[in-house]
Amino acid sequence: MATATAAPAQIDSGHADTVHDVQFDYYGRRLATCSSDRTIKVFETAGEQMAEVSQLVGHEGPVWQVTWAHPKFGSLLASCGFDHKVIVWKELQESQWVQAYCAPMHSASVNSVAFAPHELGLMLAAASSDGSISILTYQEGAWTPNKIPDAHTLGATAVSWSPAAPAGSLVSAKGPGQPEKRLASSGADNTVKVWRLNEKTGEWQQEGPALTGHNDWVRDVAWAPNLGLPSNTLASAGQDGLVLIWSEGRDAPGTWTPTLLHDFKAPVWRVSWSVTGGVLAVSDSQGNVTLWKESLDGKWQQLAS
Amino acid sequence: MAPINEIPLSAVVAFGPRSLLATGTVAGSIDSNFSTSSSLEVFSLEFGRGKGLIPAGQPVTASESFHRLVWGTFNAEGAFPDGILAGGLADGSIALWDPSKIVQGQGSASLIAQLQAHKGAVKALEFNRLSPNLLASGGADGELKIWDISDPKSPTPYPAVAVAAPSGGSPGITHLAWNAWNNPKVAHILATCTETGVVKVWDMKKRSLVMELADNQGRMKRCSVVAWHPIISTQLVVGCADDLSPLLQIWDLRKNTMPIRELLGHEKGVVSASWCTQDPGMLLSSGKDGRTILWDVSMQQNLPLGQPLGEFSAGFGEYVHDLAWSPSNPGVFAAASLGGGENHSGAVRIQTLAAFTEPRLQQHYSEDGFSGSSSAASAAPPLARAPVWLKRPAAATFGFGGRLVSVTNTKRQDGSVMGTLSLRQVVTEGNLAERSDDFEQAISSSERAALANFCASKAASAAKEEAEVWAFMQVQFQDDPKRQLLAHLGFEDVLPKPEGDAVDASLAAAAESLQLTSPRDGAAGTSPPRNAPDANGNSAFGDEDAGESFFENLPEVEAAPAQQPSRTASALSPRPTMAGEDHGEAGESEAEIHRALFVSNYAAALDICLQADRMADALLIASMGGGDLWAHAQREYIRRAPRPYMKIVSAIMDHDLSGLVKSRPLDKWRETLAMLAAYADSGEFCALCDMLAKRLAGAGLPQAATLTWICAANVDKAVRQWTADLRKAPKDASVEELQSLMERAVVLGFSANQSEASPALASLVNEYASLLASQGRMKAALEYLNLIPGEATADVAVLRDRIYRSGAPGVSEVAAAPPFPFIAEEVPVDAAAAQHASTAHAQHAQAMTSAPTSAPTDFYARNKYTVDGGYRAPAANNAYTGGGGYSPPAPVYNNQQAGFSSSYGSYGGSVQQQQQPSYQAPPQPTPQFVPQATPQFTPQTMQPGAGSYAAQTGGYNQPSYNQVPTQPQPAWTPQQAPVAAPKPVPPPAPTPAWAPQQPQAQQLPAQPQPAWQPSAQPPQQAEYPPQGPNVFRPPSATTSSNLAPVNTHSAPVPAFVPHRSPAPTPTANYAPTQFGGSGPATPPQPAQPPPPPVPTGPPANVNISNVDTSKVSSEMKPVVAALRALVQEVAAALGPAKKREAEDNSRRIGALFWRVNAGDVSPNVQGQLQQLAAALSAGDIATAQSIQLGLTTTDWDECQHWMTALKRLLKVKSTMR
Repeated sequence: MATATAAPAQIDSGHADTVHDVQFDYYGRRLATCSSDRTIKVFETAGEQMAEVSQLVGHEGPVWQVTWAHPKFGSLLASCGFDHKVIVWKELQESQWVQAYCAPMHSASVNSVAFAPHELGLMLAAASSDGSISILTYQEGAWTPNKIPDAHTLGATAVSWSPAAPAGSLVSAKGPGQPEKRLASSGADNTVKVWRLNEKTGEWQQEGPALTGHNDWVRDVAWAPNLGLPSNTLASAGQDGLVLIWSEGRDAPGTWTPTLLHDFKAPVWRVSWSVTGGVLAVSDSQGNVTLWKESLDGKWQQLAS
Repeated sequence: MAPINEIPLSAVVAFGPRSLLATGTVAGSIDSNFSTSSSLEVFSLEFGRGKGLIPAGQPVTASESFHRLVWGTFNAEGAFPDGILAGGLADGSIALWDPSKIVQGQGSASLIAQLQAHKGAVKALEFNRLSPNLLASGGADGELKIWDISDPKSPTPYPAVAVAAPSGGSPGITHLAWNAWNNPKVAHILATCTETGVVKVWDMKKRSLVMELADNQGRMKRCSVVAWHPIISTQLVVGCADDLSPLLQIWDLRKNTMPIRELLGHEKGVVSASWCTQDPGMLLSSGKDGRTILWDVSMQQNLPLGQPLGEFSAGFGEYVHDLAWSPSNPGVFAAASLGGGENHSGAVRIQTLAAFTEPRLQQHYSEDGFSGSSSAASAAPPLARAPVWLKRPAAATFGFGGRLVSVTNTKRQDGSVMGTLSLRQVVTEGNLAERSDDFEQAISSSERAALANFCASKAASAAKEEAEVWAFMQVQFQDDPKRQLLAHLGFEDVLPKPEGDAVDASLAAAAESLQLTSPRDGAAGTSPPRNAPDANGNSAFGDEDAGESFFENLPEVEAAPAQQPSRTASALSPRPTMAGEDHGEAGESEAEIHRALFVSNYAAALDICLQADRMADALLIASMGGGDLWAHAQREYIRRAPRPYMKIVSAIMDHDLSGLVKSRPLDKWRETLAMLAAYADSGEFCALCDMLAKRLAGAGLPQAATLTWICAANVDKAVRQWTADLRKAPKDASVEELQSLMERAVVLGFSANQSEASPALASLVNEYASLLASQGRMKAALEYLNLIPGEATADVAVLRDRIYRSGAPGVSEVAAAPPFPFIAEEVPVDAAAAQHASTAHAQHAQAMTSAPTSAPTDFYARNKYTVDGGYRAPAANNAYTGGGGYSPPAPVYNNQQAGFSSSYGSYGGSVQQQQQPSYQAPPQPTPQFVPQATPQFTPQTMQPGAGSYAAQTGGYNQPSYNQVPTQPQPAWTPQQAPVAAPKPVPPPAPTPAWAPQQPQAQQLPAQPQPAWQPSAQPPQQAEYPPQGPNVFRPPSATTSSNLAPVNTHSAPVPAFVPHRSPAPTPTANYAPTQFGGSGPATPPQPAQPPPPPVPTGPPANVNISNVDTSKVSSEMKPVVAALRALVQEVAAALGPAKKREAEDNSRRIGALFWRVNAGDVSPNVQGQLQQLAAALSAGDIATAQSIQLGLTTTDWDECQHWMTALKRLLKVKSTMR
């Protein structure tokens, strides 16, 4: 399969230590990075240009991950770090960020944080080495915590929200129903788990059995956008070098079937779907980024880069 | 934190594969029963399915208790799938077990071998990692031995090391360790430590001692543990069990006189240590003081003292005697303790790093930054150093628009880490770009010729079905589309040659009024033989269909010259034998005909011909006689000819096209369509096509249906059908298919010129624009979205907002800032957290000012931007936001919108859509813009070495920076100012995005009139205005056009579809003789007999408004009045959409009036009309209709011209009631 990617534009992030994450905002215009130097930086992009515009200081340890809120909530970022903290940042004026909320939710490193689809309201999930996943909801002026206490023994490594629109809703011509409140998590127990909010009890419950297929820590999990797709898809990346694609049965929700995308022979740390789905970017521990697309026969092929 | 698991065993431990853990009863322990029995157990750590340390198999009894337990990977080619367990026992023997047997429940058969290895207890034991068949052992007897267990049942001693035993016997070996976790070059290096405090390093290849390490102060008395650095093969740690010198030292063999680092902390002898393989910067140690300490031994901190990261203490009186990191689970370790609990039994605990977060700390550690001792109850602080396994080394993330950003971390020469950001555009659909460029070129010109050419090129290159679609659409853009359509439908051969670009309307009308049939030049000569395949060889035109021959022979009917009687007759006659009769019966009838013709008594001649069954002659004579005679002959002919195609002729004569559509076989849809094109009024063409298409679609002929919808300019239906076909495809719609569909749909949309796009088209365009955006082609995507007229759907609004505010190059030229399509929600700042922020800010400034100078090429040196904050004012807001309102300053926003937080402003668009008032708020940003921006963009921020940045940024800013000042100022009325202001509140105007269309719309009149509208009259413009300025005009069209001068795509194109165009000739509805429209205008051939003296007819342009009714008799005046009222009433009811029909009515009834005025109406018809008028006046439409029907049968010849109109009028009138 052919793909054309121009030579990437590169800049030094300016961080004083390892950079662990970089995330686009909703518009694909601003970038947020976070680092072991305990800071977060915000970059503006224009075309291939990137320029730092802000630095956010407040974490007391390495910052593992950042996530942008949907712009309808204003200019909001959330970050999580080794200091057990989840911090919600708000841009008061241009480049002037303050902490809007700091969540004392975890007793160990918080490894992943992700804002939910905006249809669910302002909501975020965080995964911690203490084994738990926390869900933080902003409602009527207050942040309400919720928790999945024992999500992954030995620690949860990543969370990823389901798209708000149920899979197949676009093709089934059914009207937009309730947004899906589901998320996937990965852990040091070598599994991926899927959770759903029980609206009656207000508790997050595991859906189906844990997804087993990795032989080592699962480093990342990413729920694919389901635009136009009839079923749900997850990608998981493991310390064992495997990237697995999980497809949920159309007629058997909660049943996920794995397909091996590739054995990278080196730990894989990040899987990221393109916004419209279809293309998966895989980052391994060597710093290699490869792009993958499913061919018509259902096999995953690497795009030439 | 509590351990994950705890087993009440006093044991030594060893991790194995598959998260297995083995324990062996530790030597010297006594359980509560004073039992000295020893056992080996295997457990499985199953973290996935709930936490559990599940016994795997039954305990196996060992002959002696254990000093050391090790788990090797040697599997003897599969004979030992889980490797081999080796125990160093108290009696000096080494036992080998097969752990897989234990796991499988065959523990009694698990012992492989037991060899008497040493004279004292075997305290040191380890498998070589790279050669797992080699097992090194060291005993209390001071001997070091290597065993080859290639045959595990009978291990053989490897050639022993020549140990130069010191006098008085060798000191007992307490621990040993093979070097190299993964480095084959040093795999044969081994270290031992002894009770006397000497560390020896051996080379097993050379079987010699390499080095001896000893503390130069003599403090190292009794070594208990030695362990190699997992990566740096020259470093090792050694621990000292002496309570008086609880040393823990790291040595580097390259500097063997003294340790490179001491780890001070234990207060009693160190008994165990384990170097973390997953993070060599972490080392665990435990001592008889009960403490287990986690050390930061990373070499980045070049300190002589190791830093404790954390510690925990075992229970009272208890100490950890054996430590082991899990090889498979980073951060997990086993700690085996002795002497704890009520009965002094030990425990094996599985711990994680979380164990160190609730330490029972000694005071002096907190001085070392080892805080938390005083607050053990509350949440413990994190470790001072994060383990490597949590440090994601690289990450790539997709963003909107197919942008991929990745970060990689590399080490600089000085050891510091540099994180590099890479940004690239991922294009997965290369073909999309190329093909789409052609297409964009075609639609950007928005000229019909270009569109037609595009269609033609697509038709030429596409596969069959698709090619036909394009050909049909091409027709829509060509001059004289109906003719082209007919030609395309396969009737080119029978079509008259074009007479020029336009037929003079009055001439055509005059010819029509004369009911002339004009032979065409060469028409007969070029006509193919009957039933020959048509020019396109299209099999749809089967030979069997009688209608086919009708069409094929049509011109011959009209053109049949007298010189070819036999051929004509054979083609036309109901009775083929007639051709022979022609010559055989030249009898008396012929003479009579002669006689009649001599006096130009066509009627008589016709009668005679009919009596003689000379049909061809009769028709010819009737054609000369014109009007009534002609019609009479026609009907007579139809009556006598029961051929199927006569149904068609009849239907056409009765103008019952809908009946035709309903009854014609569907597989002959092309002919049906051709007939609609040829005969249908423009007003009804669309509806008839729609009817036909519905039948086709219902019958499973989607292609035919869509082609028909194309002709009917029913964009929505056509697109819906296409989309449905696409969705039916087994796999997700491929990009190519979507693109071709999109191109078709948009081009079709152009042809239809509908002021409101079909929902199907909007959805399709949105999907396609989304695809374009995903390839980074933002500008093109936005242009496509702008092709969708009408109010944006939610999807379109969201996508438009997202594209516009992506800041991609060019998007701000395409359209004004769209309204923010979401309802904003406010999130306040937590007061406590906000206070924190100011501190953070100060730290930040400090950090920035002290930041090292970046490399010269780093022209985005951060200190220039973040410290003075000047970056965003001049550059970011001009170059980036370009009116997009991405980050307007909060103060501005707050001033305008009290109650809204500034954060909305920073996303600008989050103003609610309905906020019209804010749009008209007094302008504030404008005055600020120039003065503020310019100074800050001056050398103040241009520090030395920033020259390259200046150049770069200058260019980068230039377009949009200049854009605002060059805007024509008059257009910038106060309320528009925010639109282009540097930090605008986005205009929540309801339709600003459509602004760019306006200039185009206004250009429309300048475009050449299509030839297809030959009789184009001024009213036409009123009837089908170009995309109405009134509909979409934003508050100020000129302003909008200034905002986005580059928009050539969204220009509406004049309607160019049959149903919307005026009929080529006003009355081309009945007679086959007028087929093609241009026939009637052709003057008679010179060879023809001179035109018969037909009565003068009404002028071509007559209608009820201009007709002279001054001479109408008093009896007929009510008729005129009633019919005039009827025409006007129906015209009003029909509305502008069917203005064509109304005009036609007016013309035909006008012609009737003309005849009434001229006294050229027979008494019978006059009487009937009077009754009809009376019925009309009485509101009795049914009676009027029956009178009209009667006239059809009795006086068709006289009334045919206006009868259709009357019938239609009454029909409409009847539905109005």
